Amino acid sequence: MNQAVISCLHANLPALEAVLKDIELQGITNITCLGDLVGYGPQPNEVIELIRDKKIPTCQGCWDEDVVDGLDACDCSYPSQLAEKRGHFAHQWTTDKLTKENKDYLANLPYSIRKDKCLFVHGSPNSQHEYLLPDMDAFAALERVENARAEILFCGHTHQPYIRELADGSIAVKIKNAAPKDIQEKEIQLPMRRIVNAGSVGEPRHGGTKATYVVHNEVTNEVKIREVEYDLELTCKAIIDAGLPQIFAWRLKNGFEFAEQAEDASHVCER
Amino acid sequence: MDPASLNTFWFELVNGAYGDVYRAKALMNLPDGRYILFNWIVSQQGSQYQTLNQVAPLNGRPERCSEIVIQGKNLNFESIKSTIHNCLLNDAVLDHHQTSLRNSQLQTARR
Amino acid sequence: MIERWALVSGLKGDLDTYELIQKDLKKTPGNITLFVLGDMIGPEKNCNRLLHRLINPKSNDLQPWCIYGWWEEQILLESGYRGDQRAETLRINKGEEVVKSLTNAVDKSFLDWIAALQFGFVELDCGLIHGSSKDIGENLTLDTPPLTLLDRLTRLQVNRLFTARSKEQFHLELTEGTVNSEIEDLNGNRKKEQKVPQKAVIGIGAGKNYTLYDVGTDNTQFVQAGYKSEKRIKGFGML
Repeated sequence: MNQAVISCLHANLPALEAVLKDIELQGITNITCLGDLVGYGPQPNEVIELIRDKKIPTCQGCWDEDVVDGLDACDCSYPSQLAEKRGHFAHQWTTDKLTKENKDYLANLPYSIRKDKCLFVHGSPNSQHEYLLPDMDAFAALERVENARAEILFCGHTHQPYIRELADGSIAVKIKNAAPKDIQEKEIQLPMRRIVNAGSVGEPRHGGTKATYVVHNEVTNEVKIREVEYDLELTCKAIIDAGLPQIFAWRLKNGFEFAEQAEDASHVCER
Repeated sequence: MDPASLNTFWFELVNGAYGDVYRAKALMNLPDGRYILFNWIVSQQGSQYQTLNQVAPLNGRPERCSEIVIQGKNLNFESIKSTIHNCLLNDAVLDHHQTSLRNSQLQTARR
Repeated sequence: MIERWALVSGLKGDLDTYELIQKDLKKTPGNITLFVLGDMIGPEKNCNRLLHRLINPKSNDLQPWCIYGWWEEQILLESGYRGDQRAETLRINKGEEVVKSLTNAVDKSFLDWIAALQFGFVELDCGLIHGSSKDIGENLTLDTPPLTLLDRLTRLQVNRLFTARSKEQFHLELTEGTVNSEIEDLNGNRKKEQKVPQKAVIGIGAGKNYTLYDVGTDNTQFVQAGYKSEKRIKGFGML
């Protein structure tokens, strides 16, 4: 039995429609969404309504939280002042555009969804704002999955799809400076765990222009990254017609989203 | 200028976000007192960056100007202007930056 | 000269203990830096005299380098230094009385000094914090899963983490770690084996129990204030 996991739709309706069609063509009916339905893109209400209409279970993303509660992200979640100013502009635009009903829908989304051994979150089990980048410290990555008591952690937020398997781990410890009877050494075996990042439907950041999502076979545990072409011109035109910064359209059209790299998870935000 | 923002702006500029650029050259002041020369020519691979020798003191805005010259076609000057504007640090942020830089220099001295 | 750190926490207004520690340290050989890892205040006794002494050391005191701890965080919350939040966790767990005792134990004139304290210090390759790099209220102990300890070390990018929140004294070395990682993305597959170099988490104790750390040899000594040095080496290892 296959399930599809989508994330980071960012109010890009043509991309979402293309991805849902691709999922349907494979006969998959079980879909989970990891949030960020809105932000940057021109069709926030349309995207929310399509997700609601299809009754797709969804976690709350950082954008979904912020357009409801006001900007909660600390400044360090933006890689530069320029990115922050553009983000704030898009935030204000989105807040003004969203209907009350859709805001309520976003406000009531759960922080995480658990299905058996799978945990679905937007950023990480710690925070909607934490980035689990593909090459982050392997032990820290394993800690995120293990402390969330999951076997597979599905996340988004980085906009870069990947599948990471962490296996054959162990840590040896030794108690120092103790009474002789308490001095001991032991080796702890770490469990095999996986992190699957679903990438982004509406704002890919993998260097190309295609929308991405993942398909997970719950029997074989196999995970596949899917790339889907969509009508990019339609979205770009809608961005400009909506009065959003034209740079958003330019980045989308050129697959230059990767230009804004995010902080690593080892960054400590003291807020 | 916020260094990370400047980096993004320069990437966008030379990759055609604001029109077709053939040649771009800039001298930019950074909050840590550095003065950096940016150079880009369409026929050459990548940009050249050079830190000039003159370092400004860490006490507010430098006296020298940041400058930029762009040659190209269909340039969107309004958009360039507003993006540069979004890269500029205000007095409070600049002061915050420079205070922490001064403090880290002091800490090094304490050790 | 041997470089030593003295690591103290959980004084909770106890000036007598602080004076005992200062006295101890005067007799301890080496070039000593004194770090106070939070909980200088608490609800049990008036903390003003200790705070005054920390801010204005006597001429023969070792200069204390302080960070804020869990109790400082509570008073800052309750006094409006953290926006709209108040010390609700404390109120729910310990009741209104304790919240009141805490705010009564510290004169308001000290709040700005407390608010200006840092979350932690990074010295050489060591992180000095009150709880953990994830949360000021997190207890790290010998029973904390090593994977969690490693994560807290990684977050600060340090090889040794000194923590106080659990009040326990321990020195746990993570001598070796390895994990195989296989990443598949749109660029293909890559495998790598990650190993950790030797790292350690050190619980420094609280109140009279404090820790001496010899920077050159990486050895800890768990001490109780007021005990003679030969006694403390023999008698105070693990608690």
